[in-house]
Amino acid sequence: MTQDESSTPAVELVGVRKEFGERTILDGIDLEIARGEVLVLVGPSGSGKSTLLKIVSGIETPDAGEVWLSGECCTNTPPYRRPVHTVFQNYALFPHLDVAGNVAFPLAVAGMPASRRQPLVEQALGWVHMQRHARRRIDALSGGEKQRVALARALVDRPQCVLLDEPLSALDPHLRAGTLELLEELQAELGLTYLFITHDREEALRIGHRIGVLNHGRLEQIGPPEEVYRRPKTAFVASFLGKINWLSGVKTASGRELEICGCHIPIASQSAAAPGLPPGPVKVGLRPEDVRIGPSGRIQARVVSRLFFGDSTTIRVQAAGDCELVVDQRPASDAAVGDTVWLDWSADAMHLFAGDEPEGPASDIAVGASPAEAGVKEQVP
Amino acid sequence: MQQTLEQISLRWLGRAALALVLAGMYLPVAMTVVYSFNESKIGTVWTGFSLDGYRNVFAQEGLLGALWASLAIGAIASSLSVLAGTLAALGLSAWRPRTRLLAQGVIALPLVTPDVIIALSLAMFFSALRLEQGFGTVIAAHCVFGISYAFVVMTGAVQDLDYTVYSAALDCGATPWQAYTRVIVPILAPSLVVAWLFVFALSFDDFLITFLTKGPGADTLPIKIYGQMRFGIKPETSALFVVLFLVTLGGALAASRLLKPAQAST
Repeated sequence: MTQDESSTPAVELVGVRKEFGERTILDGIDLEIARGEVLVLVGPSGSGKSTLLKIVSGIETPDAGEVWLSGECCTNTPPYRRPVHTVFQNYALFPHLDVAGNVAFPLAVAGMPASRRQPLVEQALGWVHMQRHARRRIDALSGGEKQRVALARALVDRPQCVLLDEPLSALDPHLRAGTLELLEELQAELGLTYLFITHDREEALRIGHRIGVLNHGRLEQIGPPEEVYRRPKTAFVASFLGKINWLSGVKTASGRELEICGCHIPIASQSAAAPGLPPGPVKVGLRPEDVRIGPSGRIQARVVSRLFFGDSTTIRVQAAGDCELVVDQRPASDAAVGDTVWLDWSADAMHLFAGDEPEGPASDIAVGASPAEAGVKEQVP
Repeated sequence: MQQTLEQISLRWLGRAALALVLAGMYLPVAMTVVYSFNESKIGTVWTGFSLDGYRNVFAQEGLLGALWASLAIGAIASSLSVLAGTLAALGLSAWRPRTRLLAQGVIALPLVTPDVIIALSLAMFFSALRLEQGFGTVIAAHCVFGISYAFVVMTGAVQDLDYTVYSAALDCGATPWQAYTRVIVPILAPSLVVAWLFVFALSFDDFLITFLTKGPGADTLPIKIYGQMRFGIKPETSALFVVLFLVTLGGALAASRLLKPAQAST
C-alpha cells in the first residue's frame, strides 16, 4: 500500500439522499471514515441509520449523492462488487452450510480454489475463537457463536470496511460486553475499519473513535465521544447521548447572565452554544452527574426523593420557580428527603440551546431512567 | 388399578374400529398381492401358486411403453410444474398481501376444481386450438394441476425463508445468480424434492385428465391397465400393481425423510 492509498478514506459519502415514497429517510449525509477508524452512528428508530448502512453495502442505492469506497466511486456498484461486508443484526448465516462453509462463502463465490480457502478460513475462525467448531451445523450454535461466525465470514477476505448492523442487540446482555471486547481487539489487531450502527449510547461511547448522531435523516453532530457528549451541538444530541435535565431559562439582555430557577447565573465564555444565542428564552441542559450537592452553591433546592445504589445516589430536587432536577452523586450523598441543599455546577456544564429547539424523543431519559430503558429499540425494516 | 367394564369395552371398541379402517384400506392391496401369485389366467379364481405373473409382467403388449410414457410424462410435467410453481411462489412473496392472496387463490384453484371439469375444459380448449392431442397435451394438462400443487408446497417453503440470507449472499460477493444457486435453492432443496415427488405421483396415477387429453397414441399406464381390465384382472396386472405399490412406498418414505430435516431447521 502506498502512502497515497493509506490516506484515502475507507468510506466517503457525499450528499447522500434517500426517500421512500413521501418520506425522506436520509437528507444529505456527508461522511468520511478513515482507514482503521471506528465510526459509530447512533440514532433513534427511524433516524435512517440502517438505510445508511445499506447504502454503503450496496443493498440500497441513494436517490442522490455519491458513495466512495477506498477512493473508488461505488454509488451504483452492486453489493457483490464492493469491498465491504456486513455483520447482520440477525446474523443471516446460511443454514445449509456448516460453520466453515459459511466462513468460506465469500472466498468460494469469488472463485478461490478450496485448497487456498482452507488456511484463510482457519485463520478467520481463529480470530473469533471458533476453530474447534468448524464442522458444526449453524442451527446447533448459540446466539453468541452465530455472531462470531458471522463476524468471521465478514472478515475472512479482509474487506476495506466492516459494516456492523446493531451487532449486539440480538445477544443476551451478559454476552454483549465480551463481544464488544472481541470487536475492539480484532479492530486494533487487524487494523480494521468499522462502520458500527447502534441505538445504544453506551455501546457507541465505548467503542467509537468518532460518533455520529443521526436524527430524521440528518447527521446532527459527528466527533470524538468526549466532544459529542460534553459539547453537544443540538438539544437532541445532548438528550440522546445521556441523561440530562432540561431547564427553561432566559438569557438576559446583556447576554452575560442566565436566569434559571429564579437565580441569575453568569454564562461561561467557553460555553459552546452560548455566543450565537440571542437574548430571550433559552433551554438549559444540565447532566445529572455535573451537579454537586454541597453546603454552598448556585441555587438552593429541596430533596424530593432519593434512590440509593451503594456507590452512588440519584436524588430528585425541587428548586424555586417549579424547577425540578435529577442529580447523580458519586460517592453517595447523605442528603435526605426533605433536606434543603445547595446545588453547584461549573459554568461549562450548562448546555444552552434556543428555547424552541426540540429535544427529540429521547428526552424522557432525562429523569432517572436506567440506560437500558433509555435506549430506543429499533427494528430493521 | 381396577378397570371398569366400560373402560375395557371402550378400549376394545377403539381397537376394532382401527382394525376395520386398516382392513378397509389395505385388504384390497393384500388381495392384489396374493392374486399376483395366482397361476390362473382369469382373475379372481385361485388355482395355485405361480411366479408367471411377475415373469410376464412386462411381456404384455404395450405395457412397457405405457410405463415409460407415464414415467416420462410424470418427470417432465413435475419438473415444469415445480419450476413454474417455485418461480411463482418466489415472485409472489414480494407482492402486497391483498393482491398476493388473490393471486395465490387463482393459482391454487385447480386443487379444488373437480378433475372432470379440468379434463373437459382442457379437451375442448385443445381441440379449439386444433392442437394435435398426444404427449404434449397430456404434459400440459398435468402441469395445470401440477403447478397448483407445487406452488402450494413452495409457497410454504418460501414463507419460511429468511430473505436476509439473500442480501447476505450479495454482501458476501455472490452475484444474484450465485445467491440463488448457492443459497436460496439449496435452502429450498428439501421442499423442491417433496414438491417434485408429489406432482410426479399425481401425474403418474392420473386417469381422467389424461384420458380426455391424450388423443389416440399416448397411452399411459393407468389407461393401459384400464383397457386390460375389460378382459378381467390377470395375474400380470396384479403383479404390476405390486411393483408400482412398492415403488410408490419407497418414494413416499424417501420424501418423508427429506421433509424431516427441513422442518427441524425452521
